[in-house]
Amino acid sequence: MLHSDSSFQAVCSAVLCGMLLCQPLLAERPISNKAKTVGIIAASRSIAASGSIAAQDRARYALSRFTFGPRPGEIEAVEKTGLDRWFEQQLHPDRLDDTAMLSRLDEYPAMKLSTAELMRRFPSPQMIRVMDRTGASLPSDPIERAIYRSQIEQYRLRTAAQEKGQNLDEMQPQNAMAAGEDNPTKREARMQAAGIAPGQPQRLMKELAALSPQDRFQKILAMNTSDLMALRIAGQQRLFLLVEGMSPAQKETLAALGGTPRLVGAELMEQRLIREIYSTHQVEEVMTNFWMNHFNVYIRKNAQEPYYLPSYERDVIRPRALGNFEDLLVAVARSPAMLVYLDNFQSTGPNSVAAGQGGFLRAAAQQNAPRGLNENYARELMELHTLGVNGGYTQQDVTEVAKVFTGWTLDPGFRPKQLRGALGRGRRPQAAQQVGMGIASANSFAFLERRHEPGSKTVLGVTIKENGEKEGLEVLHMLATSPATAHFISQKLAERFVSDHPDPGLVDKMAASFTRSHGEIKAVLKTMFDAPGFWAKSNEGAKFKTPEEFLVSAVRATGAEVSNPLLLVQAMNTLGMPLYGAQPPTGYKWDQETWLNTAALVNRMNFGVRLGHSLPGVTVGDPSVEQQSVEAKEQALEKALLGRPAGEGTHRTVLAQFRNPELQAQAEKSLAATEEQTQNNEMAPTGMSMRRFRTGEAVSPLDDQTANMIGLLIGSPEFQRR
Amino acid sequence: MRITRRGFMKGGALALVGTSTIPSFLTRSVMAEVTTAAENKKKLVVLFQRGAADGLNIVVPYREKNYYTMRPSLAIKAEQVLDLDGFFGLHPSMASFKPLYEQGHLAIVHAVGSPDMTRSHFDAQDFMESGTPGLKATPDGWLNRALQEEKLREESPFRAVALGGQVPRTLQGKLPAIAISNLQDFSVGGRGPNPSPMSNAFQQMYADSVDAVLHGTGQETFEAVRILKSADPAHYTPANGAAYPNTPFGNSMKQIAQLLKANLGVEAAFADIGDWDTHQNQGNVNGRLANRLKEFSDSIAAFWKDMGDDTENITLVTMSEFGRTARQNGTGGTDHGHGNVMFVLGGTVKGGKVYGKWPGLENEQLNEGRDLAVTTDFRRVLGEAAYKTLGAKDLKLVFPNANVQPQEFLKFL
Repeated sequence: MLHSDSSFQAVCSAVLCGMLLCQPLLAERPISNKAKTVGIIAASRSIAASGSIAAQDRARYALSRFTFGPRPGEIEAVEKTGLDRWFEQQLHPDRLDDTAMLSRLDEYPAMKLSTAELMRRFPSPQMIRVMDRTGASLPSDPIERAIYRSQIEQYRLRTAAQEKGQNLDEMQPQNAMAAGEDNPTKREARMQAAGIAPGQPQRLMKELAALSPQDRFQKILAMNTSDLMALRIAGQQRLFLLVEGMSPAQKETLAALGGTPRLVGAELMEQRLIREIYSTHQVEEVMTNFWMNHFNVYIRKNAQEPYYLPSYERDVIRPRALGNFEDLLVAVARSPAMLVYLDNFQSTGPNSVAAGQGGFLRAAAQQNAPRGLNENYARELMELHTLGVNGGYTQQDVTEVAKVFTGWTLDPGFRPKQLRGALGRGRRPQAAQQVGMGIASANSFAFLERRHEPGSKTVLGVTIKENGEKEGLEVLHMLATSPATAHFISQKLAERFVSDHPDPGLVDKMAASFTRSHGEIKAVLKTMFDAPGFWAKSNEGAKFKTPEEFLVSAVRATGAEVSNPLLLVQAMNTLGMPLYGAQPPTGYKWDQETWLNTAALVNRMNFGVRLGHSLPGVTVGDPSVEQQSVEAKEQALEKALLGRPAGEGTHRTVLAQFRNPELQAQAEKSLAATEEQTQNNEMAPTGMSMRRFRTGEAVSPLDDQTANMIGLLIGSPEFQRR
Repeated sequence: MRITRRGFMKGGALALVGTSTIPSFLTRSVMAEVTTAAENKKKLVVLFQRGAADGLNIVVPYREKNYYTMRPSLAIKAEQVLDLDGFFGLHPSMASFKPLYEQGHLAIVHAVGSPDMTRSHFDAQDFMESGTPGLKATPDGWLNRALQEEKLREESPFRAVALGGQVPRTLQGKLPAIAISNLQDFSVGGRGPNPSPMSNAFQQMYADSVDAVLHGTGQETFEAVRILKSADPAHYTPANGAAYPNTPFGNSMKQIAQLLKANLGVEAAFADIGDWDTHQNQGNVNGRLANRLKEFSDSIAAFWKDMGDDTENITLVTMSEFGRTARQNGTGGTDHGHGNVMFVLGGTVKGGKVYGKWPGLENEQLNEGRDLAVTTDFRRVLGEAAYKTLGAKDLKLVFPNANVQPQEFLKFL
């Protein structure tokens, strides 16, 4: 097979080689002994020459490590820019235009709100419960009013059903996750429980179809719960027609009527995929992904967590993804998402002022007031966030660190003094309401001295003098600057970017850079990029893609137009890596041992086939453009999807597929079956029946042959690696 | 290089024919000692409660005074437990376990756990799954090793199956293990009874791949798909009116029953259930832990009912990485502790008894002054289950850094 113009390749390699030779000079500015430095460069060059990645493969390799996989034409673009320059640009993403991706995020207005605003506009179940109990008045804004009203009605319906022993609860995320199937009997039971008359759904659909988008929106907004539920049942796959012509904010509002945490969770997951697929700030996104996993927070920890995560990712992690590690560590420690996930928000010093106080606050707040130590955060801070599991700390250290962080909590939005005053004047219900609301909408960090354990603490042999909130900062500084942390983070980065078993020499180099730069993440990445060990030939294809890397790289490689990532979010569940869905604080692993197994291959092949034929909301174009001959087309597809020629076996199979007409007919049939199975499989963490408002039908612009070839290439052995 | 590596799954059943010339009394006694799981059709089901389940509130030592002192708002009152033996009682939401215990199928081992003192979920699960506490470098899981003794015969690709998206550490290793989240979807390019053309194309592609690892896993994949299709998993109704909770764990148990009944050659099945990490608001008779326990016990009880007479050949064992602190913490929950409880359920299990040496709950009897002490190494329990169910005689292979000997078995089997 002839794959490319070899003379062109030769020219390219020459240019690239020239650039790479001066790379170490640019990277390491010799400070003192120039001659010595040059000597080192010469030595490292000779090592690199023996077993390093060929010059013409370097752009593809770099893209496979520092992005979610190349998009069509991207390898060539990087070669044109120059690898070093491209990497520099990626390390300073502020200068890179990302407006195209940002305008796609306009579909998710809620993701731009502060946590407080998000909680106010889309009340959590906890908030709804408190409001129902206290009979609080609804907001005056008509849209917010409609959202609150629908949530309260649904809450009452659900409670009533539960009392009768029925489980109407399709609102709970866990429940949507659990419901393996949605059978007609259950649907009928739900209809009955919700008081939906037979024929009601059909009637509603008809009425709405006749209205303008504006009137339709108003009409749906004004609907009672029974009608809303009827609509969901009636609409099924056609609900998306109802929101045609509406603004993103209107669509979002209607989706919120179906369940607020679900809406927030869905938008969060969708925006994440949109960013990974389309952002030009790829290194920043890859590192955001890395830190979100390193500082894992599980979205289903409780009903509040979906509200904290948008700000956690947007305000805490992404702006620091390429910043300073200690800065990141402190921001994470103070984030509501982490405070709640690892329970520190409740941890209270056993000898603190708060521990000595009585329980009337507890009664008012309708939850157990915290009165003791919780070690969860302290332990994971050392084991998973900084030192690593063999980082040399003891159970005693864990307990001491837990004491240090007592009082690091959420601002409950009220002060006990105020409250006691209110209670004293005999206005208990109102006060209770305030407290309840305060807790349900606590959204920012606070250090509460009265919960803090008094006295000095001893951490890793160092005495931490009593100093309130500053004790925590002192411990975070100690941990962030420990050599164990430098090594642990470097090892993890190398496992993500290089291979499951990275060269210890490379890791040591990165760790030294970490220490030297006081935890500047950019510097560590740059050291890795500049190290010969990073470019070792054995690293090519050494990484088996995680499900997320597989899915995102497939969408990127096909140059797909994603108008609605909902089905991609769902596919992440099927592929075994739900977004924000790692329950243990370890997050997901990056290695082949975890992700390569028979079931994973089945799922990946199926995803390839489906994607090739386009999914609702995801339209795959033809990367092979206008190639005439079958061979040329096949070759173009290989180049587009794999970045290089496929192996002989894959090449032959894909080509044979193209030539077998009988295959085409049958592929159609089997595809229909896969489609159906996806619809039945409500595995999505966010259920999202109302989100179907925004899903259309799949219309593939491709002929079946091309679609199948794309599917086969995405499911091929070559595409599973990077 | 084609798909001949693993031939026919029923090799195990056929091998039994050869024993027909041996007098039956000999067969029984000798075979009981020497045969392996496939030959005597025995199966081991292993369930992991991830997150450290609170053993002290699951099998409650309701005669311990200090239990009530240490857990003022979490303790289950003596009159609320489902009494087992006058000292221990089940959490009231595990009512479906009570008859299994009374019928002698369910055994309980208390104060069991790992000799390693780690309180990290990650490490403790890792150690329990690898079966080598304290050794992080162990590459494979104990259950995989327990199946490695017999490898001469042609084997089924379904010998070791995990329900879920990933092969858990317990089952990782030399012997190929399969992870399946949904039996029906274990098919390439559609659910039909025959392989789709796309499936055939992919099969060809992986068979021709020079990537050794993907070539191997690819072949295992298509072999497994083919065999599972022939078992027709789409049409399944649980037997004996068994009703599984409609939860991920309930579905896992249902699918394990499906797999076992389909005679695919399954010898070891694994499933897990999370959310036991009750640091706050764990509740007592009702609440978070109670709900979890109900789902847990109802799913297992449904499985038992569903399997009917086949339960004779099944041993089921449950585990969790460590217990929780004996004292409740300041947030209505419990923190990471040490000793815990394990359940063993099976047709040949000598149940109706709480095994193990009870260390007591007085302050001075606690591990590090805070947790239930461990008096039984978890490997003695797993070792006995593997030895007697799977025929894993080489316990040095299964638990390399432990001295697990048959004479130390608790003899619940």
